[in-house]
Amino acid sequence: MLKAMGLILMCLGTFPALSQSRSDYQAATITAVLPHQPAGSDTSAPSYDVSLRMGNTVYVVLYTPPLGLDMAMYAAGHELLVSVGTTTITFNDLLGNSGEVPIINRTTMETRKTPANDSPPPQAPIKSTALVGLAGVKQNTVGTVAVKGGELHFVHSEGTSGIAAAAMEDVVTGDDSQRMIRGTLGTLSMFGPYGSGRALSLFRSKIDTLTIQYRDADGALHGVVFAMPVGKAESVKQELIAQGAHTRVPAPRDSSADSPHSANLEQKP
Amino acid sequence: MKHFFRPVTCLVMSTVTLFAAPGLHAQGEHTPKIRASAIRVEMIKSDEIELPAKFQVALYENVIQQLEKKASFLHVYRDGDHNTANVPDLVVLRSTVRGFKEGSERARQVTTVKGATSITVHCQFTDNQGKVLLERDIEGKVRFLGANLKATNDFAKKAATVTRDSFSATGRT
Repeated sequence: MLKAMGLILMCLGTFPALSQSRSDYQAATITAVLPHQPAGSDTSAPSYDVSLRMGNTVYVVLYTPPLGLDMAMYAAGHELLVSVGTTTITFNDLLGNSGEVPIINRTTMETRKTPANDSPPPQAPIKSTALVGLAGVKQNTVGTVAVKGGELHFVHSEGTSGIAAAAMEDVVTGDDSQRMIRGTLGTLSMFGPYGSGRALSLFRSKIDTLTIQYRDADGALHGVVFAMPVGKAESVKQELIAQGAHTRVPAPRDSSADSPHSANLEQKP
Repeated sequence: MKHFFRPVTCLVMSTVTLFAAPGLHAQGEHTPKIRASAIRVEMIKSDEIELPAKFQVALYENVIQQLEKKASFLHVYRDGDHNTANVPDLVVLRSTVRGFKEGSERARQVTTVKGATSITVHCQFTDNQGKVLLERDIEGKVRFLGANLKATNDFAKKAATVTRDSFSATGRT
């Protein structure tokens, strides 16, 4: 009984080792095939420097095709399964034939972040008010601001206005405050009895302002001022800069500035 | 009854004459308007005064808006517009902020007498060659109701009125 159990355990023990040999194979892409320049004058058997890319590593191997099957020049772009050793690479071709080639060179590529990766993810539209300056839009029009496709879009009840980020010469953020009760009701509340209107004026909400200067196709200078919830203007500004806008005040001032008022207010140089 | 109306009529007529005479006299003193076909508004400068960007832009945009509304120019051009290169009789408006006091809307609404915002801007109207045609200091204020930026609108209205009173468009009746 014990002998039979030992035999079974030995069989099970060899199973992972057998299966591991297949799992070493990984997909690689042939990125380039160049004729190999031999050091000596022996040019009898043509051979090729084949570049294989696996993840971030590019291997250059020396491949000598078997006689009569010189198809290596047309292999660029193909994928195949390879097993990387210390000095050689074992591969399986399309017909299932296995071969082994020496590694000439091994290069690890650095992962480069594209500008798109650096930019923050696009934000959801931000409720804002176009205070002044937006062409074709009345002053104090309420809408939403979103930055996408290299443009700042202001969507309001009567349509959409867009400003190209690349045309922006200056983007400046600031802070302000406004009455919580505004408009006609706010004005009427001023006449409330026993000074209640004045007391209501004490209740104010903080807001951010975003001031943009840009030029149109004729070179004419335009200016726009948006008001938006506190903390939103800086993110919109950074997004615009990432998409090509310019600014004279690149970084927000340190919050430990002289006065509380100037903490979020960028000053013009 | 006749005896009652006669002195009243005399009184009314003399009052009207009293108030109208200085106005008529002043009209006679008015200098002739400068003829110009278009105006180009330069961006507001604030070299000496620290002016927040939103005020600078609001001054500029409001002036353009008010000039388009009130003044009689054929065109109101913006700073840097390439189309002004061949415009005859072009007037250029250069504005420099000379004074700025940012008040508080809250203080205005609570106290009524405090917290006014005021902006003083020196406006210089020149021709294409840089010859000064007119110079004025114009003040924009907000004393009671409204946000601080409303002072820029007040300035723009006054600047447009000065422009309308001083310039007439060529080719326009």
